[in-house]
Amino acid sequence: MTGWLASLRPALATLVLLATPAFAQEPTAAPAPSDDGTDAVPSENETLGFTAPDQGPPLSFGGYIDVGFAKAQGNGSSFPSGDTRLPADYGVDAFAPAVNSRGDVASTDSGGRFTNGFLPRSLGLDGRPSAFISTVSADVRYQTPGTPVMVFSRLQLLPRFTAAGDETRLVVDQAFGKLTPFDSHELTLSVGKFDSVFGIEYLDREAPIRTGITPSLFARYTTGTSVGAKAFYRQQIAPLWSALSLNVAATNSAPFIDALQTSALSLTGRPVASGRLGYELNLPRLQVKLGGSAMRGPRNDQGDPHAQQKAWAGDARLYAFGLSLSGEYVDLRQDQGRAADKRTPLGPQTIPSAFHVRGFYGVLAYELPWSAAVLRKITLHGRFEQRHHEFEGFTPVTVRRITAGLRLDLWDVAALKGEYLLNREAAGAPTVDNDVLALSLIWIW
Amino acid sequence: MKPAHRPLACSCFALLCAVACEAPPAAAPAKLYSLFGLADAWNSRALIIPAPGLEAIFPAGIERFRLPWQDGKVVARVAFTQNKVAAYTTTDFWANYPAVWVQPMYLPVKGWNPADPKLLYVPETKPIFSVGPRSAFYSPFWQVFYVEVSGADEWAQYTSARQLFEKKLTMHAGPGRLCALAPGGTRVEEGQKLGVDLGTVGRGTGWVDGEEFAVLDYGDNRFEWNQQMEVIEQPLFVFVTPDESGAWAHAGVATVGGTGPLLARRPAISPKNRPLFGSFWRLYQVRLPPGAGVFVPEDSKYDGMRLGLRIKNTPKGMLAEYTKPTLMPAMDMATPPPTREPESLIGRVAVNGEKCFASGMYLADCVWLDSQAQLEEQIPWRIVRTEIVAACPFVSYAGMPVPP
Repeated sequence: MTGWLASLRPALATLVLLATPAFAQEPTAAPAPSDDGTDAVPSENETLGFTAPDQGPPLSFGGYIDVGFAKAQGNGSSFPSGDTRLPADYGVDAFAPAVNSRGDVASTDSGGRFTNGFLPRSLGLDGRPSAFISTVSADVRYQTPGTPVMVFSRLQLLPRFTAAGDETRLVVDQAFGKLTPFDSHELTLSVGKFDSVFGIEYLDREAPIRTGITPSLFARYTTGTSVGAKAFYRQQIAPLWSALSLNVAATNSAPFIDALQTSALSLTGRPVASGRLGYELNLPRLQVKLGGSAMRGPRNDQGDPHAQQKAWAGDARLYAFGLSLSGEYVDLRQDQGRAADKRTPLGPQTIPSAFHVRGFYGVLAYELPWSAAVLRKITLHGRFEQRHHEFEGFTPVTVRRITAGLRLDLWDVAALKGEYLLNREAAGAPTVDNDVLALSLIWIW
Repeated sequence: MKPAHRPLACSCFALLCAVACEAPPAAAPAKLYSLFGLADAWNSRALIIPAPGLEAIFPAGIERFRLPWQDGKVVARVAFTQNKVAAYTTTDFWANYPAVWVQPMYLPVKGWNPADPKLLYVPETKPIFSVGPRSAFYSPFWQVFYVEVSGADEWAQYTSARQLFEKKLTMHAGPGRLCALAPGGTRVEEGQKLGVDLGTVGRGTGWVDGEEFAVLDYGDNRFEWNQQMEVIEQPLFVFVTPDESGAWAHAGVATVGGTGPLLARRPAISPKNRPLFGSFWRLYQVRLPPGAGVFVPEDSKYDGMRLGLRIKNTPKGMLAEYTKPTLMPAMDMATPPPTREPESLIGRVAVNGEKCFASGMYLADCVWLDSQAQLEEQIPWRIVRTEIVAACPFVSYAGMPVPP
């Protein structure tokens, strides 16, 4: 056992201690997760199916606590020592050493070198092993009695301590009202701050839902929530065991995570349009879902409405006999902004450079065909991904990542997950030690 | 649809569709003009080149004859600094940039001699640059990193910075070096310009990510930078007069190079007459006051200098041209001798030119605006900062060619 693995012993012991008393308890009455694993936390994604007016109490609460532990190699960042190119975040993938479900990384310390807003949020772990609270999430849902209106909000507390000191944040992750105007059609209209409609990874971005811990290298472009309006419609084709769905939105920002673009307001005065057209085949023992997504609108990290960003993606999911296979291809282009007015939620930046990224990921998960009273599910999973990015005039960078992990669902109120990320710089970026071991224990309420 | 729900649904759609599309006021454009863009502008044959972001000096665009790259040549411009004649070339402009950064370049050495790394430099090799001219973060200001290799054969295998890191080669930080990447075949004006001896700028090629570029090498230690790797600027004073539209525009007269921050009175740093400053400039307008004049004798040999002078009276009438015959042969010994030889004053701006050129005092009572100190003392209120910075390395300083 290496030194840092040895350092995990106390944390593993802690997690075992946390889990052990639970074995003596009765299972709770929490609903079983659906095939999409979505019911553990009400994600309010329309693509999950028609949401009939809740027959339960009009006001309901939910949420989860995500307790994490991680150890990253090196200094926890993707920045190699000795590489003095500027901006430092153009020549590497600073998002690679993710340590939690939010995609936060162990470190974004560039060694004092200038960066230009292409950074994730950091937990400030650097290369040290540490436990942390990743997310404390609280949902409130109110189904107005006698109306087709549902109101939902999700607040998240993110305790953080970085080199800059205490940087704990309270985030309004979602806050919207949803109207279901027809009884006979799966049509919903939402206004407020809601989930992305682009791709599929947003469906499992919350820690209790995602099989593994960390998001893919593309989640930063597809899983952010934003403010605006959206409409979802699904047409069932019963004779073919199929359905077609359309999800469209007009929002302040692209579906990027908040470290890259703010969704709080439009910096250009013009909305970003996005949408996904989906097909699903629902046979008794086989489920296939296919989709294509597109996004277009002004970059919301600068003020020039003519500086556009456009993306497209294709996705596929297959579920059969406990095996699930899913994957997505994403292609995104951003124009260079006109002025040196780039700004992100991480602060003012400089030039909004032209940018192109493309790549794919595939996830294979297998749920073992047995369970114990306490151990409801055991799921093995692996992910392979490749990402290629290029800032105009800068060395293109290709990275690959292999993730392997295990998830244990305890009753229906806890999930224990562990995974290892092997990050590899395939081209354009100097090799750097930035593999990550991550653990996560999620308490669902 | 339930009738009661229709208005609400319609309202939602109305909200969705009625997103205001009123664009906010446009921010000032940030733009890098490298030699590649300037060459394209020349080759376009347009007489006026649009220059967004450079309006403070070129409000209607850059006239073709003012382009720094002309027909494959980087043109030298005569200027003044500390009352002396100098000359520089312009390789890049940046408009509305918050800073310009030093980027790494790599040179091979056969071993490490900290006292004099160049002793072990591997000759006949090409440098490797880290950032290409298509990047918004390109600059001709580099920090040298000496890379230990076995010799030229090994170095020849490398054409990108990534390869050097992949091989985990030993590197040592070195001095700053000014190397402009340029279109193939570009040369820098040499010889003499208006009696000023110009230095010889090195020419060669180098690699950026496997792509070979022409390189104009102005040599080591031509600029300074701070801990954030930002190149430190000095003021370059550009005389402006109103153009036909009334906007302040380049007057066409020689600029004045400063030596330090405005009003700081920093002396020039130029050991052995080799300026460590004077490559990276912040452009300041100097709005010429009424009565100012530029000394350009009527002799036809100065016709080239006359070209582009914005000397005609405008509605505001600012700049007068001295058109009398050259003064040297007719000097009246009864009058006080001029403070300087008239030949050395050609091209300089006198704040009181209209009077002193006509006074019969043979320029002796002219107040010349040929140094930062003079400008700050005479007309500080007419000095206006612009958001334009430029790489304009000296090719002549204090009468000596640079590099020598």
